[in-house]
This record gives sequence, structure tokens and C-alpha cells, in this order.
Amino acid sequence: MRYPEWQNSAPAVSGVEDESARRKRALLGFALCFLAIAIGFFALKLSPVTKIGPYGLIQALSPLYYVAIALLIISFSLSLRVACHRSVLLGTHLTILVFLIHGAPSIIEAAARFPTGYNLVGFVDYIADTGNLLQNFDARFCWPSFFEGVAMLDKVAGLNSAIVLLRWWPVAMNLLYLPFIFGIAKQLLGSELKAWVAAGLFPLANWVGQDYFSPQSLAYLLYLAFVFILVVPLGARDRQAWQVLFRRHNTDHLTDRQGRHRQRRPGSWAQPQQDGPRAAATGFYLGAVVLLMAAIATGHQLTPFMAITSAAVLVIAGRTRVRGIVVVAVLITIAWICYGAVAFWSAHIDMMVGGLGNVGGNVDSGVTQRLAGNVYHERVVDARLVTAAFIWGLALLGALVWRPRNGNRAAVLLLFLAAFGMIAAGNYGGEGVLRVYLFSLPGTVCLIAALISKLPQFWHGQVALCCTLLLMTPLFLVSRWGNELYEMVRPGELAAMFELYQIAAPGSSIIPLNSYGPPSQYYNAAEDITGFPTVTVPLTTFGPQALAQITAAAADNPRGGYVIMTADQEEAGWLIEGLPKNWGTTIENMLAHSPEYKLRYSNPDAEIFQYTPHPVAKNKRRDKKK
Amino acid sequence: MISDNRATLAIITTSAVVAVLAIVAPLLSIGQPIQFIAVFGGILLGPGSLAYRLATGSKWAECLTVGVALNIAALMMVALVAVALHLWHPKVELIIPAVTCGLAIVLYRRSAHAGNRDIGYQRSPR
Repeated sequence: MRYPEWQNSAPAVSGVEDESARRKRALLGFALCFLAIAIGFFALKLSPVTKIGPYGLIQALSPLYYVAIALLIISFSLSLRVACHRSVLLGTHLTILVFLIHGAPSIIEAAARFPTGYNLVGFVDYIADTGNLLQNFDARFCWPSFFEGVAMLDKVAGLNSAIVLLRWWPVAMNLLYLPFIFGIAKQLLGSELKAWVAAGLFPLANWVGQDYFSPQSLAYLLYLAFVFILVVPLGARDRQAWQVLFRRHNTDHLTDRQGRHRQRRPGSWAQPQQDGPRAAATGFYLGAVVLLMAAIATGHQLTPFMAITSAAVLVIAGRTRVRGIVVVAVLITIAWICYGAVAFWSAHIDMMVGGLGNVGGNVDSGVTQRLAGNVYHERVVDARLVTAAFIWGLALLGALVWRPRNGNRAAVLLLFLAAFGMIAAGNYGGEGVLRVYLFSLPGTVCLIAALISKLPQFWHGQVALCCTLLLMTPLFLVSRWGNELYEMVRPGELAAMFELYQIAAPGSSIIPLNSYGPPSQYYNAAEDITGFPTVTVPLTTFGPQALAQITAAAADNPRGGYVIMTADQEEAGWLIEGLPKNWGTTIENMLAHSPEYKLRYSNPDAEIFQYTPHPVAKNKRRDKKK
Repeated sequence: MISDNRATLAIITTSAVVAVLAIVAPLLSIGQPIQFIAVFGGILLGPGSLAYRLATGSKWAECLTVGVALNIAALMMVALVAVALHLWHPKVELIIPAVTCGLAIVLYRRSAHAGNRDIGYQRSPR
């Protein structure tokens, strides 16, 4: 074998090491780990939230933070050689890495981040309070098992709201993803060391931000578990489908056409197939994948299709023994769409199938249309494109140079490419490309790990891994946290929202000036979710007509309306919609000087204006309507 | 496999204790944060990993990893059925730690019978 060290579970180090030296190396690794977390945590505590700028969190991070991350990455790369307690040591490194990079905003910011998460908390709290769904209120209620599960857990745990879960959810999710990435990589790459490399790459490669409190974050975990069971306990080393189709017979193949084991060449990958799991175990595994598939299909719109595609790919590549799982997965998905999601698809059939086959349009909405906004935002989007290109480029290079004799290359490559099929299926609200990236990650990190393992010497691989991770760190920080200026949630905004529900009369409209920020939909009681219609006034152009636009929206509701302006909305308007930096202040002045608006609440992060129609204006509008 | 047996006993005991806490805490409304930790612990260390071990005899690391996903999936399905059948009551969730207790007893009895041997069925090498 050309590069034996990557194949061994414990690579030899130069010279003969005694037990105490091995322990010392492990101890040094643990010491560096804990030093890194101490420095990193201290650095995050030193990073002021006020310094978060148009490039996001990276502008606020203390230089010590980078020292901590670099220390951790170097220590992780060195620890690959450690023979004593290696799994615990590397696992500790990755846990700390996830905590420091995915938990950074949770430590720096005063409130849990990401407005959409608050919106979903509202859904969970509604179910927890009423035990019912609102299928016609929001499409996401048609895939409700995530919301229902969390609602049930909240109630039993005695929580008033799922809001307490928001802050550390991304860290928890990324920690839960890692063992599956490791397990899948170990099976497909055939080496524990390569699997550690793949697992080490994953936290920094996962910049797409789909790990917030949401159905897709949990569905992705279930998806990884689904693939893991298909690949590992139910794994196979059968011929690939195209070999069967084209009748290519190879002496390496596991069985002949009569199903008998052949004599293998020495060194052949296809060792005689051992007895598979016994019947009860196989039954359990099948039950487990069906349970996982059912939870995925009822919890999220997109993930079941990726689960089906991945299962099909594994069957085609001959890497799972349960070929029928594809049919079962399809049936479960269709059954749920026909039963549970009928309220959605009957009204949105165009949305569901409209993007089918429109690859150009889907890529356009996922990439080109995101290249909007001011120059700062464009640079952040550029950084995202560079990061994706860099990581996919390394993966493709890995696919070119990695040529194992066991046929796993086809499986990994197909798993990687399968995600791209999603772009032909639809644009998914402009997020299709992000989802393609997310679902390509298991294959991607495997291919990069394979590329690194192809370097001539073991230490070359360690250096390459270290350099790759160090290079990925700033790219991750900009790509992942680049929108923090409008994706963070300020305590004042939450306070304003709570206040709004106290002062607003039921049935009155809530009027945010764009779709960013928690005030658009955040509820503190079950009746709030339907009791206050939200009318977004998208101010894509800015001028004197803005006030008339807002008033038109407010005047539509006879019960009145409340305009809520938050710092998130102002920053998003500036960064994404290209409005002037001071557009928020200008609108506030307009509202403050208008006789039809009254300032009801104000704090440094938010203002609430109540629409009270001026008698003359009211009569004019009434006449106009007549 | 003595060390594995010790690990087995430790995990079974922990799962059982957490499951009992997860049942008792909401029933007695013990209060935060114990109730929160107990209930979430009852899901994370729920029946999935014990059932996985019992049925497949895999290593504990694999059982615990897959078990978490199975427990979450089970919770989602229980909640889905409860809402669909208009049987919404949060305490339905207590089925999950109750099953954990049952499986812990089965695994414990098997461990007592097995003595120094490994618990669960031996997994075939692949």
C-alpha cells in the first residue's frame, strides 16, 4: 500500500515511543485544547457587540480569538498522530471548535440571534398552548412534527416558551451532526484517521446557517442518521448498478451471478462477505430507517427528497443492502404530502412544480439575485461564493486523485453530486443553492479528507489539513456571520415587540417596513399569532411617497395599525435593499411629524408608532373610496 | 469484556435514573432547571440507544449516537399522532422515558445473566 499511515488506526510515529511518551503527547493535546477554550472564551467575552459592522461578527472579534482557533487547529492536526486516547482527544478538539465558532454570537450578543428562529418559536408556543395547528396560516404548519415535538417537550419540561432553546441550538446541532459525519466517513473512506479529518473539516465547512432553531436543522440530523444506518450497519459492497447493467465482470466482485463467493485476488478490497446482521437486528435497522424517514417526511419539506436521492445513490453505488428503502421512502413522502400537506400543495402547486427543470432560473434566484445590496453586502456574498467554490474545488480535486480499489469513490462522489440534483427541482424560495451546499457536505468533506490523505507523507497531510482549516476560518467567519448586523436580535427589539402586544388592540395591523427583524412575527400568547395581521410595507424605493405607502397600509384596517421600526430593519434596508444609511431616521422623522402617527414606545433599538387617522384625512379617504 | 460490562451498567443505570427523573419531575412539577434537564436528558438518553444495543449489540458509541436521532424521531412522531388524533396532552411524552425504564430493566437482566460476557447480541464483523 502506498500510503499506509492513513490506513492504520494508529499511525506510527518516528522511533519507538514508550507508554509514558504517548501519554505525554495526549496530555499535551488536552492541555492545548483547554488552553484554546480558555483563551477563546475570554476573547469572546472581550469582543464588544457594538463593533459588529457591515462585514458582521468578524469586525467585533478580539485578536485573541484567532489565537485560540489557530491553537486548536494546530493541536488537532498534531493530535492525529497521538496513539493514546486519540478518539477522546480529537473529539474534545472538535467539541471546543464547534463551541467557539458556532457559539460565538451566543456569547457575544445579548439575545439569541436570528429573527426567523423567533418566528418559529411562535409556532411552537402556539401548538404548546392550544394543541392545534394553523395549516392555512403558514405553509410550515403542513410539516408540523418538529414544532409538535418541541411543543410537547417544552410543556413537559415546564418551559413557558421555546425561546430558551434558541441561543445554543446551533452548537447542539453541530455537535450532534459530527458523530454521523465521522461514522459515514469512516465507512466510506475505510480509515478512522481520514474520518477524523472529514469530521474536522465539517464545522468550518458548514457556513450556510441552516442549523438555527428550525425544522431543517433537526431534519438534517435525522437525514445524517438515515444515511449512516444505510451505509454502516446496513452497508454492502455490491457491484455498482452500471456494472450490473453493462455486465462488466470483475474478479473483485463480491459474488458471482449464482450468488457464490469467488476467490479474491490477494489484497482485493472485496473480502468475502461476512454474515450480515441477524434477522432481528436487520428488522430493527429497517424499523429505525422507516421511523427516521417518517419523522423527516413530516418535519420538513425538502429533506425527504434529499433522503430519497441519497438512498437511491447508495443503492446504485452498491453501498447498501436494502434496495427497497428507496420505494419505502418515496411512499412515505408521497403519503404525507397527500395527507398532511394537502392544504399547502392544493393552493401552491405552481410554487411546488414551477421551478422543476428550470436550472438556470433556480441558480439565478439562488446566486445572482443574492448579489444585491450595497457594496458591503456584495462583498459578504462574494466571500460566500469564494468559500463554496474553494470547498467544492477541493472536493472535486479529491475526486480526481482519490482512486481506492474498493469502489467507495463512486459512492462518495455520487453522494456529493446527488445534492446538485436539487437545483433542478426548484429554487426553494431562493435558498436552493444553500441547501445544495448543505446536503453536499457529507460527500464534500469525505473527498477533501481523501485528497489530504493522498499526500506522500503523513506529516504533509497534517500540514495540509492545518493550512486548509486555517484558511477556512476567516472565510467561515465572514460567510457565516457576515449578515450579523441585521441577523442579530437586540434586547430592545424584543422589548418593543412585547410592548406592542400589550398596547395594540386585537385585530389591528402590525406594520414592519421590511421582512427583517423579529417584530414581523413574534408572539407572546397563542391568540397573538392570528390576532394581529402583519402587513409588510417593502420600502424598496425611498422618498416622500414612503409615508403615503405606510399610511395606505395602515388605513386599510379599520381597527388601526402600528408601525414598528427596529435596528434590524434599518440595517437590512441599508445593506440589502440599497436604501441610504439614514433612511430609518428619515422615516422616523416623517412619522413623528405627521399628525396621523403617534409615538407610543421608543428605546434605542426600536420605535412603535400608532396610526390614528386625522379627521380631515379620514373623511377625504372615505370620500375617495365612495 | 469486563470494562464493556461496566460501561454497559453505567449507561443503563444513568439512562434509567434520568428516565425516572424525567417522569417524576413533570408529575411533581419540581421546577427549573431540574425539570428541564431531566426531561431533555430523558429524550437524549431515551430508549433509542438501549433498543439499538439490545437489538444489534453494537458498540455503545454507535448506540448512543443513533439513539439520540431515534429518540428525537420518536418524539416527533408521538407528538404528531397526539395532535392528529386530538389527544394533545404533553404528558403523553412520558411514554418515552417509561419505555427507557422498561428497556433498562431488560438490559440489566440480560447483563446479570451474561456475567462477564458482553451484553446484547454480538454484532457480526463487517
